[in-house]
Amino acid sequence: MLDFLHSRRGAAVFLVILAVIPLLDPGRYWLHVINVTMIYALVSLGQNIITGWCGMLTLGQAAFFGLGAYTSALLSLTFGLPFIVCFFAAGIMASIVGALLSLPCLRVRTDFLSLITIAFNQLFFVVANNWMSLTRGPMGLPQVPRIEFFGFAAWSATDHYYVFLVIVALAYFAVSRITGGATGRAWEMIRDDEVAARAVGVDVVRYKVLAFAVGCFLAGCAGSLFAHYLRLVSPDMFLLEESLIAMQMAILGGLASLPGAALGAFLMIAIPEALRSSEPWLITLRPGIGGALLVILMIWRPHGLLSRRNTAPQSLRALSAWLRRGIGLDRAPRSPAERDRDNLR
Amino acid sequence: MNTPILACENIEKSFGGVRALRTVSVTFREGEILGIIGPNGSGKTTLFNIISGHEAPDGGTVSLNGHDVTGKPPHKMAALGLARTFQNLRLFEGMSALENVLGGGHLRAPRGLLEQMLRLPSTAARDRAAREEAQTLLNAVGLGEHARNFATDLSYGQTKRLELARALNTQPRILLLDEPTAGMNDRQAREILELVKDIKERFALTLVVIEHNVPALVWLAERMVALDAGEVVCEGTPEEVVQDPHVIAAYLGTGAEA
Amino acid sequence: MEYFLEQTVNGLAVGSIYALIAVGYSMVYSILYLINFAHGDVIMFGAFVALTLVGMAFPVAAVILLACCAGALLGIIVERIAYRPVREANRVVPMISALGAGLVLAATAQLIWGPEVLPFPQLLPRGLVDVAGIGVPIQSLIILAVALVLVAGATILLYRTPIGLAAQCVCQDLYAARLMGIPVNSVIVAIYAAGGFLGVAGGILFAMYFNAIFIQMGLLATTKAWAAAMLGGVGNFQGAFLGGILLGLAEVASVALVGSAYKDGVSLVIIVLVLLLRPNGLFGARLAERS
Repeated sequence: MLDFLHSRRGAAVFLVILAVIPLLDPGRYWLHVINVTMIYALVSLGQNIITGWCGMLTLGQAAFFGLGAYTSALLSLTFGLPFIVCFFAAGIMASIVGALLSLPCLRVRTDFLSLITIAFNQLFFVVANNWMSLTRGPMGLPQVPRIEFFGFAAWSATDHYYVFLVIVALAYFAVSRITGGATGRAWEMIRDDEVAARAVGVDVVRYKVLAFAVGCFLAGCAGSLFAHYLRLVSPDMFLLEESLIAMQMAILGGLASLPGAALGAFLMIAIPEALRSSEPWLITLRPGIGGALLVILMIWRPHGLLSRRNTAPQSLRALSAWLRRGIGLDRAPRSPAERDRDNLR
Repeated sequence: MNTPILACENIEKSFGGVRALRTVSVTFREGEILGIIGPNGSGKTTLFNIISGHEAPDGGTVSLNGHDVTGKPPHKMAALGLARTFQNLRLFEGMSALENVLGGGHLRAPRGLLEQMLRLPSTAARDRAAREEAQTLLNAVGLGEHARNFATDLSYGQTKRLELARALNTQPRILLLDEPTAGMNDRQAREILELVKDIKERFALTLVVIEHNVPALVWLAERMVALDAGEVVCEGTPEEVVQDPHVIAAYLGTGAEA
Repeated sequence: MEYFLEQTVNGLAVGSIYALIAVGYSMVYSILYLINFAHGDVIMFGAFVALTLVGMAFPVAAVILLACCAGALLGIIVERIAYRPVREANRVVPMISALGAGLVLAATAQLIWGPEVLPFPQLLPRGLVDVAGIGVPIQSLIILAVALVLVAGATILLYRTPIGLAAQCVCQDLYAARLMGIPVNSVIVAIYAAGGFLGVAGGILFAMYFNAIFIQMGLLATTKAWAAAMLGGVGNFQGAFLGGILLGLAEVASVALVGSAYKDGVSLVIIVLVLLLRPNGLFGARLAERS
């Protein structure tokens, strides 16, 4: 099952199912739920590259999502630039700011990336909320132009659905190529053991910054879609809480797994959105429920739900590792301090 | 055969107040197997870390083919043809055995983002070739059947071999092995050392080996260096080194020290 | 001039609150190399407990003591549930489970006390005392004094007592420490408990000083506490104290220069600058030598 989901055939089947959904006429509301989910699937993908493949905990993706949304909205509102230009500008803007922000940290202590990104998210909100002349503060930017390119304009929910489906599918495809290539392998090597990654020739800082730039690029692009789809951006869409949800998407779906990234968006966005009217408490308690799931998951299956790595339940693995240690076949596990020290010995 | 490929001159390194290495000079000759012995804490691994760039020395120089490479970061040293294994295994535990070895070929793989996204036939062909090479290396170390297994699912002896295959896939000219037989029984140790010797010939390597298992190293090495308390106490053929009174004293302790 | 001095006193008081919160993060980080993201929410929760106790008309001293004990208890629970089971996993894993535990605490607090910003009662005497001709709020002085005592206590705990010594060993090498007969689990629990205790003290002062208590307080305090800790050097509690005071003063200065809206951005600037210029902080990190 997991293998099928991760195979090319699995992706094709999934894509076909998604492509026929609007033909079944599910109604505007359901299409809207899927549209929003698809946008967040890009955010989730970006977070997954940074956290799942490269092993860095970033907690500010909502800020890059917002940076993309504001960049795109402002460029099209102020300069009347076409959507395509705004879309890529949003991604590039988020990516450059992300790279610059992460650089000081990745050179010294990667742990602190999570702190820097939290602080950046808080600052982003404050700036968006207070820079009245640019962002109109809490009132937000209304009347963001529609998505239009090459003579095509997206009017209905179905139009948006197909635009998003194509963009998200292309993004997932491109990322699958990168993660399947040397770059993705370099990221995984860094995640598993930085010292060894260096020893086989990986320029660790460069690849970490690259992972962060690519992850932020995706968040920025998603932000652009969000702005032109809802046709409104306002600061409270990009609070730190949203970043925590993005993080939960990536982890609960499955780290270092593309179907996992999509599943994460489904779990954290589609389900609560779909039940918004009948079970409103779900939205309120979403972070808490997600948090409890995180703790359970970290203990039971530390790489996420769908990741290919842990096909056996964690408890069984732990048992076998314990047995192997017991009969002296396996070395004792190392603490982080010890890991670092081994390097110095 | 006797040209120096790598030379350490007057290397010094301290941690806090502990002088791990004091003015150590060792020359490594092209194509030889050099063994390094010494009691725990004598500075063997520190010397490796300094050569491979994982640590910067406090003083002294490292030169490779006559060029000064002191303090170059490890990824640059790898590009210059230096590979190593670690005393406490450092495998990529979230990756399969084959991917671990492929990781060793990082510097030869197509690394441009656009190149990877488009994956033109030429790129795909390079990828396939790299996979075949990696599989060949796995076969060479006797792990051919375990290509798809995760590193965490291999036995201890197998993980040691996997680390060797990964280091070989960087296509090194110099290979540093840090205690390749640690934690093994005599039979396993002999197997792995035979493998190492075979590989050294096949890939025309210069080999530097740290070992605690002195008889095994005597069998393997062509030349030996003994370290004690951060200093070279003896250098010569294996037979000379193991009979040297300094070395015996360092290993067994002398009355005066006790 | 008077305004300037008043603001300086405010900066000192706020800064010492940050320092108190920072100590809990700093302790766990310096021993386990882990950013315990649940800490911020433990503090928030403890402050809410204090609010409830005030409502039940407990005497002030009992309120503070009980809330701090609740903080210690929460710290212990977090350790037991979200740290110990994943201690040996990849180091990003405990960070994530700590974050998860924090989110659970935040959601629980929201269920109990609601999502609104609530006013926090003033537990300390108000008024001004005359110090060298300037009216200084008593509250600020008490906050400063309490913070100073508690931070000094934490320093003594970690660097001068047997349990602190044991903690240092755990930090150096957890497995060797266990082999030497150090009760590793108890030491780690003690660290979490002490962090929770001090943190809640900081949290109550924080809520009291700003006269507000809210769910997101924990995350807000996180960045500020870390800016203070990093400025002073992680693991260096006196440093964190001075770092907190510098941060408090910088915030006060930023309010005067660019307006109060951007005050919360100061900590980001400080974190980035410290990482760029002095990764070990102004006063040197007291992280153990890793050799």
